[in-house]
Amino acid sequence: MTSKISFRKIISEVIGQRLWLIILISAVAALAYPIVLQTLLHEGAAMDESKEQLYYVVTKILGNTAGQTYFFLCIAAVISSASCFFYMNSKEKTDFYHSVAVKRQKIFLSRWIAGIVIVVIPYIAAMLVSIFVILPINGLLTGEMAGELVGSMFFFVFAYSAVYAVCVLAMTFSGRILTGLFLMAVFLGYVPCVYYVLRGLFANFYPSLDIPSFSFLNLGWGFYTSPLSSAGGIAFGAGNTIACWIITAAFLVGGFLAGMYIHKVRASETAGQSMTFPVLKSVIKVLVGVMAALIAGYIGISFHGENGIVLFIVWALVAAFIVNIFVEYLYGTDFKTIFKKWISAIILFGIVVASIIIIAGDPAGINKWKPEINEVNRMSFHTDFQLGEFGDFYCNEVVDKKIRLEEGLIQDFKPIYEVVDPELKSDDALITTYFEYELKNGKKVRRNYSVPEDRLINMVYKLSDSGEFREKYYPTWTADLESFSKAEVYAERLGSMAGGDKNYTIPKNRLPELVKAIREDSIQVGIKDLSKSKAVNYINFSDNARMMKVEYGTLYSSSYYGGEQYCEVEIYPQYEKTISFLREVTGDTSIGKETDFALRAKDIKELKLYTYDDEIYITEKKDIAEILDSIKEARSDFLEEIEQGIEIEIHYSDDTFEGCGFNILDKEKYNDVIKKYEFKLVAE
Amino acid sequence: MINIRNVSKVFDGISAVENISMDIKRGEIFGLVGTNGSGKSTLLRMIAGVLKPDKGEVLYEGKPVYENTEVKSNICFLADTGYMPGSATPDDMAKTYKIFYPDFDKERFTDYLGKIGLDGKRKIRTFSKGMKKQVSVILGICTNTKVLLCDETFDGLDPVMRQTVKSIFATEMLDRDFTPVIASHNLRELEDICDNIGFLHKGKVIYSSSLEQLRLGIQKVQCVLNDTGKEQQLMGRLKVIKSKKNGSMLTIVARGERQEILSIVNEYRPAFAETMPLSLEEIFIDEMEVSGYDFKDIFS
Repeated sequence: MTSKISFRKIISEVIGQRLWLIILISAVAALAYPIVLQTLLHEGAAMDESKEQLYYVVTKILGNTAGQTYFFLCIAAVISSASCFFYMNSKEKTDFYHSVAVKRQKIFLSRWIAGIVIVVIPYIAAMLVSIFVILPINGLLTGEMAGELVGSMFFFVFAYSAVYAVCVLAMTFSGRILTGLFLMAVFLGYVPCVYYVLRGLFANFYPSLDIPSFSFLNLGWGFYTSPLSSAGGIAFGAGNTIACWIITAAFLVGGFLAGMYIHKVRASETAGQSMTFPVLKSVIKVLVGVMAALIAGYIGISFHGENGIVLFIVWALVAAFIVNIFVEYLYGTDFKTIFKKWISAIILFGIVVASIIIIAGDPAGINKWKPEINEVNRMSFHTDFQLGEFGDFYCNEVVDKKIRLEEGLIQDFKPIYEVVDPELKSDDALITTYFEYELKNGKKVRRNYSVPEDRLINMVYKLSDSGEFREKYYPTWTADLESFSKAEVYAERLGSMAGGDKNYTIPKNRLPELVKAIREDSIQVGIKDLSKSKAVNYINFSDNARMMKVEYGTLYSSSYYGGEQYCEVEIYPQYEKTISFLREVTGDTSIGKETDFALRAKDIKELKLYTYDDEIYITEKKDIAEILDSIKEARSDFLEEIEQGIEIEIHYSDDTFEGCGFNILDKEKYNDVIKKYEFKLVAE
Repeated sequence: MINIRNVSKVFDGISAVENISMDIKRGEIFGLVGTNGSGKSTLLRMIAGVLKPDKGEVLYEGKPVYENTEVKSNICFLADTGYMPGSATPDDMAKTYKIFYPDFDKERFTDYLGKIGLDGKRKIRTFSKGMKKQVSVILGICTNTKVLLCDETFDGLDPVMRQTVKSIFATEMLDRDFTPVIASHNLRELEDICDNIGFLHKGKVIYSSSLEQLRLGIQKVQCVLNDTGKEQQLMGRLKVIKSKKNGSMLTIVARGERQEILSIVNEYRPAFAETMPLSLEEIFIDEMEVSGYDFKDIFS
């Protein structure tokens, strides 16, 4: 035979046999893009929506964040790959196509290309009609928009190709359509699924390891193990975009090459058999069974928390049992064969039991690990506990915790080491605190443990004597004062009925000097000493550029407020450089001086006394006088944690009031008031 | 032309073909006979390059077949359950074959189709099993390949169609370089068409030679001697494969030429003596029983 077989004709033959699929995809694409777009734009125009609103509609339908496109193309990838490579599942078709004078690589390539063409051509056609016909009709097409939408179109073609390549690879490993679809699910979702389930389980059973559960803030490497997630990452801006591009491309190229290789080496006789390589049957069953067991166990834990360990074990074993039956039936399509594969079933249950023991039992004692003190070189800690007016020990859990732990390592770590008690279980009364050990062998180990509040305060006070600690951690309010672009100075309002609202804004160009001064001052004096002093002013820092950027990147900070990340810094009399700077900038020499404590006593109508869960109103003049007698000026309104007290709100005859916790009762009279008015105090 | 050298193939631990060697010569019709599961389909698929032998090699004109497009362009394989999409028509199939066999003769296909009375535009799913086989054979012949491998192709054909196909084969062999290889489990269907035959049993070749040689070498004689002593002497002089006595009638299957055997029998002055024709199946059964195979069970 001399005539040559035309590659183009082979592709045409594959496509020609799938006209039904092309028609189906064309219909869906026509409906999903030009028809829906025209309908929505028509409705929008009828409702006098602005151009911006109409542009929004356009990008939601045609842009790269169009979720329906992503979903549509993923489904199309599954159908197209299954259809184009179904021939490998049929003995008759395999006999035919493998007996003709065409190399198997060529057969693969022709079908691979056909699978792309079948989906991509209708999609591109629908997109081009939408962009270059529907948009101009509605007067919405701009050059910039056309470029953006065509770019989105090519992105989706790229994403489709990557998912399709992996689906085809799955098909080459199978000899039956059902197992082919099963393998597609495994190839596309197994690793991310197992990764996040394990992360969730370890986060639950190994809390000291500080493993985050699934979060867009911390996607982890598992996110990058499937073209579904990596392409989704590009579309929806999750994860590292560059990494997502590279990984999606790697799935495309790797899936194509691996698929071609497996297609070449797979034996023709595997047509009709569940797996191309029989050994994979047991491997896949065990892998899927273990995953199902872990997912079931995780769901059990999610329902019942840490104490749901029995449920975790039961659900995991039941899931493994069900998966064993399901997968064997899938392989053998016969219930009789299900219980004959007992070796792989034993392996499956063995791994599930081992996983349960490792996850729930912590046999190596990892969760409660604490190094010997002589093994530790340096330590650092971080907590979100608010130590009175000394502010948060963090600003953002993603950025600052890391900075604190990595840059806050100190040699005088004994107070930190002593507070670590791995035996304590997480509880509401305990505060989660993060520790980093730098071991003498150079290894760094991060753990988090629950610490009682009083021990934590005591530790901070002890540490405040250390110059090294102050150098690393002070000022304690925030780690990134430099990131704020606005600062306003207020007179300290605590215990003061005068002033309070008077404030100055520090010029932006002088903020670095202010921050420098605060740092230098704060390092000079420890929290322990400051806690005995009374703040004289406070500075409200706001417009934290870094935090705002984080905010718009969908990260939320617990301190997020009014569109600005803010931070209040108390100024103490010991802050000589800061006070001097503020006086110089504002020209107000009262800054740094204690404000007089005064009350408009004659106008008082009633007093409202309240604690966290009780409140009473004092209206009798005699009682009001007695309580006002016992008022002692508070050093801080943030010191409820330290100074026991009852907050008092003063209501005047002219229906105005003030308070905000500026009054703390004299401790000697405190108990009398409690007793007399039968206060219920949670603090007790 | 086709040389099969020590070929073995194992499926799921079961040996489908075990160390088979045989040669198929150019221009002969080769019959591959064997019971179900004897390995003939597997062997054909290895010859076609569909399966890769685990051991040994299949050569066409000295070149391996597997993944060798140059060689495979000379071979067309018609599987027992051929690739015939139900929604396709014979004409559609001809178009598909034309893509993969560029020398496919569409005109001849239409001609043959007309001769056997099949409509080229009728959906294949409406065809009977025998009609599908007819379409399959015609498609295979019209590919113009030098070798046509037919797996159980004749099994679904009625006697008239079988004769028609045989005559088409004969015409093709006269007109061009054409070597059909026909696998069947039915010896009777092959004995009047094949030149050479290979018999497979449990994955092994237990006989491979020309049919003529097989026929000439074995004779069946029926005689009446009425003397037990003479009967014993006669049996001693002949190369007896099998003997049976039914009343006074002695039936002997013996190896040798017809005339030679008859003259020996006549020396004992039988009351009656004649040679009987042996079917290919009988020859095989007798021969293979001698070889230790219990063919009564196989063909029962």
